[in-house]
Amino acid sequence: MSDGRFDGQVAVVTGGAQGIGLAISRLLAERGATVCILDLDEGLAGKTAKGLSEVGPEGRAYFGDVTDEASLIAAREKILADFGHVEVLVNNAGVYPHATIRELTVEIWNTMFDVNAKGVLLATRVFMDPMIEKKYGRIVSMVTNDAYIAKPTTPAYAASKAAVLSLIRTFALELAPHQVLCNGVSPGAVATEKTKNAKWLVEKTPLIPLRRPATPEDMAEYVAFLSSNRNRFMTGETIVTNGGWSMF
Amino acid sequence: MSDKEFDGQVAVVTGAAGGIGFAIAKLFAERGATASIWDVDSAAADAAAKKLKDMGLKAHSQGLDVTDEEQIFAARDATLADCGQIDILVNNAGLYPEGTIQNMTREAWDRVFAVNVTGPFFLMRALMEHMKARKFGRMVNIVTVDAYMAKQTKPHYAASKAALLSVMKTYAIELAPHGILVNGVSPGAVATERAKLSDWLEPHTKKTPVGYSAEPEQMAEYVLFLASKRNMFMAGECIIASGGFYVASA
Repeated sequence: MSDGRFDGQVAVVTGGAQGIGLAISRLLAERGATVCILDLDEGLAGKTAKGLSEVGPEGRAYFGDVTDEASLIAAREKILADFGHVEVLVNNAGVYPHATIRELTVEIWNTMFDVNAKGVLLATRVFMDPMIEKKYGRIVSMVTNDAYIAKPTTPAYAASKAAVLSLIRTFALELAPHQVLCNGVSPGAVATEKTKNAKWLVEKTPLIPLRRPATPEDMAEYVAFLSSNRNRFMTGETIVTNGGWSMF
Repeated sequence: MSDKEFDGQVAVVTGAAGGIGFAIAKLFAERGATASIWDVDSAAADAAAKKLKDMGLKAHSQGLDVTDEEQIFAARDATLADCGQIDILVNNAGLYPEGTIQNMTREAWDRVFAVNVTGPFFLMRALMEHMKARKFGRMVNIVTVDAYMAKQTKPHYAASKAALLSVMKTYAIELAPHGILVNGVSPGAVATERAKLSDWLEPHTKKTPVGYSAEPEQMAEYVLFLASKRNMFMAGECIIASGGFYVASA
């Protein structure tokens, strides 16, 4: 079967209640997945999940703090009790505070690595077991264009995402024999509700060869493809989807 | 997403009479496109197109040598006359000969570069004006994991594909403002009929973490994704689909 759909599958999306995560949740739901949104903000996640039930089989919200393994295990157990299986995990939760080398506090550095890097380690480790058991799984982690370049405005963010690139490769090797494929998507400028009027986005747009920022829906397509049964031979890779930006 | 998402589109695939190229052409046709099969062996191209037509699919065939720009122009003009438009170009035609640093001849080196780099360069140039006029196009180049690695058994092949990566990026920058996205796919071990007869497929598959080599149809999925309207924001990038081989080797 390689219809690119998710009928009968359960997808877990961390930070899936808003922004790019919401677009991912929505597209997976539209293509037939039962979507479990893991979010710190249960109220917002619940509202989003309700909307997903209108476009797909079912959306459901679960509390999950990606920095707290116990909360992830609790969420996994609830999801398995509710639906019995998990085929797709999207590691989307992340934080993006600006702080230069001089401004960076150890607290900001730690938070960034806790959420962006350790969060991927923990969520992947927690949700890989039901996939191993089924001998099928797709894990997609959101990275960023910044993981490959110097980033004076957000050095900790860039470094934490570079760590995710490495984790994707390690999980890929660990899980390949179990037919669980692990990949990443690296967006450049994406116009979400939060970023669409941001100074950096407005300044970057003319530098993008496609002459526009991406929409969250553009990004969701890459995640959906890598999460789907149409991807059967790609693992440990991260695709850069930045409108050609990194080539300059 | 429709099962026939390429309905109304015309996809040119070079080197499509057999192997991965044919799998790509067939998948395009199954998903609604007219598959225009371009091959140096025009009889084989005709036979491949007939095979698709016999399945009730839309296909077209064209013989050409991709190293000859005049023949590229002729193939383009004939395809436009027959099919009306070209939405997609897949540069799949390529040579994969053995060779070593010691036994390399200038002729062998030049021949591989002519087919693997010069061909795609002039094919993309020949089709880009048509796509620019229509403000839409997708070009996908078949590269290889060898482009990123040392390759003692095929140094000219690996170098030609590394050059193709560069060409692909230049076209991507040139054409992105016109709505034409240029990307690549780098396969690892693919079990084509020819590869199954080779002595490299088995050892390569053993070194592939997922534990199998890809069927040509599996590789075709990456090409179709990049060629589709689901891909709206990726330009100048190459997807490595090697079953984890590249990550394990790096």
